[in-house]
Amino acid sequence: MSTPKKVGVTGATGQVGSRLLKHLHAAGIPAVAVVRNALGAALCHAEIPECEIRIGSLTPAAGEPHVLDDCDVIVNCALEGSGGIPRQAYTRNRALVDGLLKAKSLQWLVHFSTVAVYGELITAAADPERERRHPHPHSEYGRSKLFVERYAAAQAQKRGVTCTVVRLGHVYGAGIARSREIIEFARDPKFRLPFDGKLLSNAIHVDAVGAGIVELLRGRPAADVVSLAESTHTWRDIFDWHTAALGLAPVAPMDDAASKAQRRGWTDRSPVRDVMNWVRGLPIKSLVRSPSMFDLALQVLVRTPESVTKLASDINRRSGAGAHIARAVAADSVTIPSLYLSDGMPGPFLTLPEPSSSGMGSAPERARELADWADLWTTPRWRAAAA
Amino acid sequence: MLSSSAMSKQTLKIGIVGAGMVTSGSHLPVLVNMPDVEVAWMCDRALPAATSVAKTYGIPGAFGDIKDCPDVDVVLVATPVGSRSSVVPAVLERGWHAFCEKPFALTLADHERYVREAHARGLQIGVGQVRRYAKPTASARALVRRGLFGPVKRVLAAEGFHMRGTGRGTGWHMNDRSAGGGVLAEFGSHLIDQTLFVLGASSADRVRVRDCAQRVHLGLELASSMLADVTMDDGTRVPCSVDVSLLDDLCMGIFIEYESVTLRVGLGFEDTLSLVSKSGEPVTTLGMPEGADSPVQAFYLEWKDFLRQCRTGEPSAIDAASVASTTAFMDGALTVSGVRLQADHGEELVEKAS
Repeated sequence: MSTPKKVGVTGATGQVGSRLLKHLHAAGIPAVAVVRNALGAALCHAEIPECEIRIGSLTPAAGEPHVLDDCDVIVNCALEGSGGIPRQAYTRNRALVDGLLKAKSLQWLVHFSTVAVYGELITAAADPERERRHPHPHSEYGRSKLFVERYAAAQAQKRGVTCTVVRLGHVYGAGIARSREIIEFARDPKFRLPFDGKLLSNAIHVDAVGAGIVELLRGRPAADVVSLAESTHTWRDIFDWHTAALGLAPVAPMDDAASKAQRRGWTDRSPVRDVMNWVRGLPIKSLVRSPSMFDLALQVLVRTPESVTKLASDINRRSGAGAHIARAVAADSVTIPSLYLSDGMPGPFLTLPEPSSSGMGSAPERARELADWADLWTTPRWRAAAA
Repeated sequence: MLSSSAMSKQTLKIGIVGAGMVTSGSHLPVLVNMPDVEVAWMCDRALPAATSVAKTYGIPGAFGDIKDCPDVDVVLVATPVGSRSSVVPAVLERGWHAFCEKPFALTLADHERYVREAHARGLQIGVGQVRRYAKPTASARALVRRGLFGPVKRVLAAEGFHMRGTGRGTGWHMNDRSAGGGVLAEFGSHLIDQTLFVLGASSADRVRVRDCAQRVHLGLELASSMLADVTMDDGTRVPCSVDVSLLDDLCMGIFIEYESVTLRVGLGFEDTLSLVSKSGEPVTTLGMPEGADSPVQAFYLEWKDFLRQCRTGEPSAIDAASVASTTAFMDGALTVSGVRLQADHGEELVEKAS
């Protein structure tokens, strides 16, 4: 397969899917966006009016035609949520994969997975290849994604379809939630970038995702698990790109000691510690202040030897001051999500073509889009929605 | 129907028309926990839905037609706005007070007709403009009324985010004509109402919509941008820009501009009331002595208020007459945009010829 005849894209209204469709169109690769309902179609049309949009189910009943029957390639960008019931993250995504594999002409399934399969906080593996083959997620999200990517690969093989699993890094760019978080951090004077941003970011611009997948589709299908990120970019690179585009000062560094302490906050987590923290946070004072408990406490205290009550009073004063100081420290710091404290994920990485010098995906265009987008949600505007 | 004095002494019986999400997820958890309230029945054209919700909340009756429902004191009308022209009169004819979900009506004529019919029968009618009870909104209203910052120069209100997924549902509230259709009815009915409530503009004559631009894709209205003149309760006329969008991440809030400072009113229950610079940078956060800090509290407060209105006849904060300006605003916006959904009459969407 040199160039796909027709590419079906699921998750077409999403952050990645909608941008990918633009790149496919720009590359002259025929593409179809699949959405669930008329609202999804309208949203998709607003973003990519030139795109072919189909409304339909990705899990058709037996005997029913598939909405993507004429597609030889499907790029699965859909993220089936759990709907608040964790089990559904497994069952719905499994059903989605089963549904996609029913498409008659399908030869190649490109299935988006996530860096989260390596855990919330990635630590550099002694054997990266082993880690790639046998990752150890420690979040339910990561576990479900790993399950589904393995399921997709196994079911595709049974059907004779090539399945490429793409473990996607942290996507950033205009309109992307990660960029909003980075910009909010950059505008927060209390924020400090852990390890001065020297860690590999596992991040990737949304246009690089689009360009990378187009490049992948131009090559030969391979049943493999690959990573998709700007593999050499550190968090300093990513933050500096955002602040430069917005005309903000570069974010201040966090020293190594504080960074390591932040990292320990993630690596040392345990249910026991969480329970202890919960117990510490119980409103004991409120309980004692209730009229009946207060009276009971007084009854006990008048019968207690003075040496004991003095000791209790001293402990209370010390621990009370400690709690107040801990609250002040917490109020003066920013909680750092684990991704900013992680090491790089294992390769191999998809090849990313150089951005073009102008137009969609070019460096100036990426910066302009980011600045325009940030201005829209940070500054009140007269007639903001009329643009 | 019971007299006000009789009602004040006894448990009120409530019936519910419409077994959708707002009923099962927001109203019922509150109603079944309120004292002096008994939910007597659920009614929905889809009887299995009514039965299912009734079973979940231990409600004794489930019906598929309002004609079959036994008498109650108050009815929650939680059906799409497009069905109101048949449901509201049927409720009032039975002598029941009506509490309607937002948006109350799509035209001012419908709005005034419902209120007239209720008043003619000595009944109360209210609207679930629940965000009026949100702490930032309720507290801002009190603050603006005191006029501490001088005269209001202009108001910018916006609620918008780039909608990235539609979930597993059908998106019926956006594409079903009977739901009112579009982001203006869905979000605008909240944002417009919050803005007018804070400014103290409750009657229809306080609003004059000058312009409305809408972004319509494949027949669905996904963004609306409106300009209006609003007359505050002290007689000050204020230019307002109101924007709702599913296509762009907007700077959300109601920004009330004074000569030297801007008051930002957060839209949600856990949001803040703050003073900001002209560019939207926060300067300081203000205390919020009024209102609810969660949707559950707000639903409780609106029911408490409306049931008191039913018992005493005294208008509450969500009396339908006080929402007339909101309906007038939406009606005016649809009129000047030339894009109108005639849900009640089944007419097709008409787009203004460009």
